[in-house]
Amino acid sequence: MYKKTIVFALVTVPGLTWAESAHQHGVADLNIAWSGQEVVIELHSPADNILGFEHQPKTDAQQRQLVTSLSQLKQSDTLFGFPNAANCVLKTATIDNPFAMTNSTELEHHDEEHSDISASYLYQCQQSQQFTSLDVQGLFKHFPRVETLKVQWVSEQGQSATKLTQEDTYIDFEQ
Amino acid sequence: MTLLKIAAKSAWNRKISLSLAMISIAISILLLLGVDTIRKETKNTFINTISQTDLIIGARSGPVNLLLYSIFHIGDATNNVSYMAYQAISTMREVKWTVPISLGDSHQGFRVMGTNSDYFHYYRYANDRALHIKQGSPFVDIYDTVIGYDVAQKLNYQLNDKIILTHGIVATKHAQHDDKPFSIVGILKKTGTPVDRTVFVSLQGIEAIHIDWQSGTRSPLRISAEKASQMGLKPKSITAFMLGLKNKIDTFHLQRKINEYHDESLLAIMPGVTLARLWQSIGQFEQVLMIVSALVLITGLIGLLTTLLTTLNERRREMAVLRAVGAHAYHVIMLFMLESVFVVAGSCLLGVVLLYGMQYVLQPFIAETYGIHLGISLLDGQQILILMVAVLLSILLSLIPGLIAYKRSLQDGLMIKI
Repeated sequence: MYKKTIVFALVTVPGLTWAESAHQHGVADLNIAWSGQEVVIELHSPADNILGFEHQPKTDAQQRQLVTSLSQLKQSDTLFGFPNAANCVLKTATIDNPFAMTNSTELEHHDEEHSDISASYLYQCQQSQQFTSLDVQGLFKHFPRVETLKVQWVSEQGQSATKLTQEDTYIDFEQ
Repeated sequence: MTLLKIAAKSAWNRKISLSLAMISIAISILLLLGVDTIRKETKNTFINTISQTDLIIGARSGPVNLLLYSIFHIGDATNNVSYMAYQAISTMREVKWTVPISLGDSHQGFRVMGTNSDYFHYYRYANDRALHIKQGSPFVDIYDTVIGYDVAQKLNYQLNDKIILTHGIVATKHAQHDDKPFSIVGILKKTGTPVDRTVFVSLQGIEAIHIDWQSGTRSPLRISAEKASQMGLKPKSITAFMLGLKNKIDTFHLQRKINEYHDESLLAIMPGVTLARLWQSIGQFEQVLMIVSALVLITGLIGLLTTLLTTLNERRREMAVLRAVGAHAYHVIMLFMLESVFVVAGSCLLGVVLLYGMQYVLQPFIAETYGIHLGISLLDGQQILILMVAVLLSILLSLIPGLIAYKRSLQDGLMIKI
């Protein structure tokens, strides 16, 4: 088992826009980059995929949903299955919550447009050469509104991309 | 052994219909293997053309479009990148190296690329292979050029030959940069990539030949080659540039940063990711082709079955005699099986020979026209599997006439029919 020395840093980075794909419900992006012992995983998704709504939480139920979903996002060990041999430990998890600015004048502003949620995870892998695959079954399980996950990755070995669905959740980096 | 002999002699009696069946199956095997080879080699050519480049940056358009025009020289850029933006991004903290690419001119149908000598240092293909200069050295002077292997071969160029560049991609007599000839200082080794079909000059060289041109036509004001070289040739814009990072971890972060570049609409793509995406979308088309080829093979095999079944009547007596002299049921079935395997194995052999023959003949043409280098290699596991499946299917199909022949050999053959 991994040592759970998890340090969370919950910060908001407003205006963080992404180039990967346009806002499309049911579709999310997963970017993976690694070098040396560091592995960075970025998840970017329309808020609807994660929360089921894209506006400031209006009801208590929605507020609860927001809290549950964000804490689920933080528990990255339940989302990503690393190869055991790689010996990976989460160092930091950063969630960009579009609704963090409560009681602000931007409330209505957020109501009108689409919102996105981003999460970034930094892992340290002792045996990073064993980091040859990643299983994201947990991500699909915990966020069933995500239907398609567009994955791209880069390492010293090169770059590639694939598309995952709820039936096909395994990324083989060496393929 | 006797059985083999009998099968061979019997088949020889029906050599025309069997060899026709063999040829039709051979063609379908050629088709199947050919589609498979082209599919794999095309993919290899594309995947192996660029390696170790983390990002390619151009004016905002589609990622595939940018990749195709900047690296594969297919299609044209919609817009340029200002030299200022190029310099600003080059000096960013995360960036290890950048190499500019300036396209738009040609020489005898080969593309001219303006760049700097870093190109020969940083460009990598086929898993980290660097470019090597076969003869000469990289360009130093403004009117120096380094040419790709195919350019030298096709046009029969030697070092120190003088060449004239043409304005634009299509060769026209009126748009020659004939007042400013370039001299060949280097010839590259073969790479099997579009590099082989490229004429490389410095960015200053590109500036110099266009210094007295305005919006695509030559202005009446002529500036001589020597004069131009003294004019402090500063490029205003380039077509695209390649970028390498100090740490791959920064790739996504820098890509975002460039895509949000405030002064200009830029697009940064990850070449490997774009290629993978492109291939996933082409993949479905490939599958359709493979299915069509497989159907053609099945048609060929059914043709063989038809041939075997139609000869059953002629071979009534043959079977009956064999049975009468003590041949077992499995002997009769084996006879058909042997014949069928013999035909299909022959087809496989013929198909493979045809495949290599066609590859050998078409290779230069395909490389020249489509830029795809068909490497002639041994059959891979998947292709051998295709052949084995064909032989296996032939064995299964041969059971049908075998069983029929066995069933009716006794009562049928020896009875006297009028």
